[in-house]
Amino acid sequence: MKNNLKDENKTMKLLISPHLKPIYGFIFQYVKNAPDAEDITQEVFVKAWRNLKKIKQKNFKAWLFSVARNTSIDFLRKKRAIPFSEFENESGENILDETLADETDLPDEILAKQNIKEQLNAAINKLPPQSRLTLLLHYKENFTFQEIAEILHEPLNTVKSRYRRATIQLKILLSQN
Amino acid sequence: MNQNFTKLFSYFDSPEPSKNLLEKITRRVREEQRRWAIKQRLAIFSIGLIFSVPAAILSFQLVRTEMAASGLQEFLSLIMTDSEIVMTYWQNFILIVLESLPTVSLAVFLVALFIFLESLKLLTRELKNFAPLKN
Repeated sequence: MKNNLKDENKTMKLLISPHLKPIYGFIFQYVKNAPDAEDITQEVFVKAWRNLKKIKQKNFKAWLFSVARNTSIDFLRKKRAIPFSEFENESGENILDETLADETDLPDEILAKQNIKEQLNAAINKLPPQSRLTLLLHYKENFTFQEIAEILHEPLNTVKSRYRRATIQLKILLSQN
Repeated sequence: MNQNFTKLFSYFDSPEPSKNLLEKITRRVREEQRRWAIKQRLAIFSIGLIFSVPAAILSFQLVRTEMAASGLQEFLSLIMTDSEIVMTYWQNFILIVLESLPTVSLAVFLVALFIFLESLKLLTRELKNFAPLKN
């Protein structure tokens, strides 16, 4: 019995550990403080365990991020710590954004900067929350735009246009420094 | 994916969770498993309790009616009036008493009573286990 419990604990840890840091990092982007991010992370994995048998989605990772997004927003809603529209509603976007195109890659000079790490962290934190999340999900977690749209519960075009805007903003912020 | 952006984001420092977070999560999941198991047992024992009460009452009434019809009381009153005869033919007497017992309804009543008492005992125990988890 004790051995069974140990094995089960081991399996549980094996299931959780690959997703722990990405999920924590994602939640941190919403709540911006470690204790709350840890509480929400716990909640997310408990929810995941509860619904493990019900998951119909093939992409477990994307589903987990979606749960993390919902739990974080619920937490913020309860706390009312932020203007909620900042995270949820971007319907007031400029329609021109849809056609805004800047597919050019990042200039090499920016990457060659000595303190690029600090500059990047500072620049990312200056981005609007949804833009920040879109970039991090795309580049750090390798999600496709379709998956990001599902995670953030937004239309694909909104995600794409926000991504374009965010890359331009990031380029500008990094060039300024 | 833009190559330079991919490279750029490799410099991004994702916040690190505390070392014991994984442990905390497994502990909470365990607690959740335990709570779920207790809830399931509470439901089973409650159902047992709910159904055993009317079953016990109905079967008890049936036992009473059948006992009155079986003439068991007359046999038992023999113990008081003609105890010598009862003592002489005690083996036959016991057989007659047993034959006149309403066995089926008595068995149903005892089973219902057993289920009621067991459900009550287990329900109390599970409620005691559930109370600390609720907080």
